[in-house]
Amino acid sequence: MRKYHPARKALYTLQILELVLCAALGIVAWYYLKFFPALAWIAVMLIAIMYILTAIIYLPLYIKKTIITIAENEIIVRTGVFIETKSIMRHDAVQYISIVRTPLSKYTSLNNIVVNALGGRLFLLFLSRENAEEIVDILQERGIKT
Amino acid sequence: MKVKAHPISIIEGISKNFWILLFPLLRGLIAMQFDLYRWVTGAWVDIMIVTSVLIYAILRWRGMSFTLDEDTILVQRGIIFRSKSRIPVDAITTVIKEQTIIYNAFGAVKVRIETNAGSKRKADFKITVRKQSASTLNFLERDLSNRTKKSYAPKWYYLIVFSLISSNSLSGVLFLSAFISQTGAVIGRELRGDVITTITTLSHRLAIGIPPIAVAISIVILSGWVIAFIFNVLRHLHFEITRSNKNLHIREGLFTKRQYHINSDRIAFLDMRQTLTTKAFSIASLYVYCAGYGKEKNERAVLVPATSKREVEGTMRMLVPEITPAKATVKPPPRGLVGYILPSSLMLISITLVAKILIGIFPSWHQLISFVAAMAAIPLAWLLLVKFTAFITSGIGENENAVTIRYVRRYSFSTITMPKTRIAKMQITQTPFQRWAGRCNVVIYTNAESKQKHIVKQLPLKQTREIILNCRNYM
Repeated sequence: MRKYHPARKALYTLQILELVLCAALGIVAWYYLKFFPALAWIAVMLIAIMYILTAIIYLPLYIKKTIITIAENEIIVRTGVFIETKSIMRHDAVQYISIVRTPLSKYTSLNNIVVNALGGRLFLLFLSRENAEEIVDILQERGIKT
Repeated sequence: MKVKAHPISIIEGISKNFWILLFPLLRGLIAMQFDLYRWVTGAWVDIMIVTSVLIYAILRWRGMSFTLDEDTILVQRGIIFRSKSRIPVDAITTVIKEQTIIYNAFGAVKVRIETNAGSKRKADFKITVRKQSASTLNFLERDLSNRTKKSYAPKWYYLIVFSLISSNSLSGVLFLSAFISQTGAVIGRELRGDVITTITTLSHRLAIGIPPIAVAISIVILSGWVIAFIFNVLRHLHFEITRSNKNLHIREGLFTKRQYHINSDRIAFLDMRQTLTTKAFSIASLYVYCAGYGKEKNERAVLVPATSKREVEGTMRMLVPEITPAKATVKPPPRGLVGYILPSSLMLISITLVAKILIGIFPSWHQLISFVAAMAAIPLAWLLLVKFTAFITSGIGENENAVTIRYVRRYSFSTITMPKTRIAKMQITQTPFQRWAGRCNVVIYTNAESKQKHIVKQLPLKQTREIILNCRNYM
């Protein structure tokens, strides 16, 4: 049985990306609302609060609480911040696997695996490249019919 | 060997709205007598959007490819989010190849590969490749050279009957409205205006005893149905199905040629369908439920389009001998008739009562209300007849390998035959009245790409429980 966690690098990448996005939104809001300073400030504050709630509070908790377990006969994914969910998928139900990478995924650790099975899918998100390749190799050996 | 997508995929990757943006842009350039400076300064936003769409389509084409191993196909796609999917050949249920006249001229073939996993709306893998490359994706076609193969091709008049039965006015109307709308957006609004004027004039001429609006609606629905019928005939012409070793191979189409190659081990169930009219003439169609076949818009998962019921049963035995239907041994008892006909009877009575009340309140609208009530009552009366027939024909039966379920879904009678191993769940439900009467409804779910459920109503509880217990060992 092997356990994996989403990579910390993925968390930092997502936080930076969200910071850029919120900054852009803030600038746009300020530009279009500059004739109503009070409204402009409210919009900027709301964007800042949204950033703090998601990037500073939610995402780190999500990364911490997510555990991917590759067991003898099944894949188990435990995740969720407020509502915990546990998904179990048997290896022999797996039909095929997709690995989704973003540019510079070696440095950003935004490597995702989609496990396609009868009647459903399992998402293994924000893995380091090494972990993603290891999981794919294990699943190929055990789960996929050849 | 790595195979890249055909350049025609660039056009596929461009949305329909692109052309609506492009043609007016080009029209503007012509109107400005090719004064590029004025054109660019005036329409730079539109030019940027058009250019971005084109660049995106080219990058998307560049990112699409597949590599074939002995037992795996590695699919790569995406621009920013690069996806690599490794699909074992053994997991493939259906391979679909499609070639329109235009694609044929460019030597391109559209290929879709399906498994029992993935989305029930989108193909697992879709790519347009050169014809030579498409022939390498022949995992399910290798046994076509096998001598022991059996074929079936329906006669042309049965294909016409099938197109008559399966044509859907709604799809024809949607096509017509989209065509007029999009053509009008490109050419000008005059076309749309002409069509509306024509329908209005025609409906006034034909409105003898019925309101013109009702005639106009009928014209639209009838035109939609005729278009759908023509498309269906063209789609299913030259239909032929061959069974070789373990696979089924279907060919059809006049202008657009389609091939479907199905792994018969992956068939979830067979569905013999009839309407009340075709039942009266002992005509039936056979459909197959297998991941991928029948998934696309206007595509029907048909094995035998339409022929006599006896021929359907014989063809089923020839093409799919591993799935043999069983006789219905558990059927609704006489007292179960009320459960079948009560809802439609109540609706029919309600329509009549509501119409009478409305005529009392709005006497000047007597003609329109009567017409609408009559139009609503006709399908309900037909439904009542269908439900009565369903009571006689419904039931469940089983043999060693398969279970056969006969029931009605809306206006269509289905005889489902499925291997017991494909049953995902069986459920017995009872209303308080059924509990008192010793009857139940049984719901059977099939195990496939998506869950399908089949419901037979008003069966005797004891015999139904026995059948469920027999099937349990195989689930």
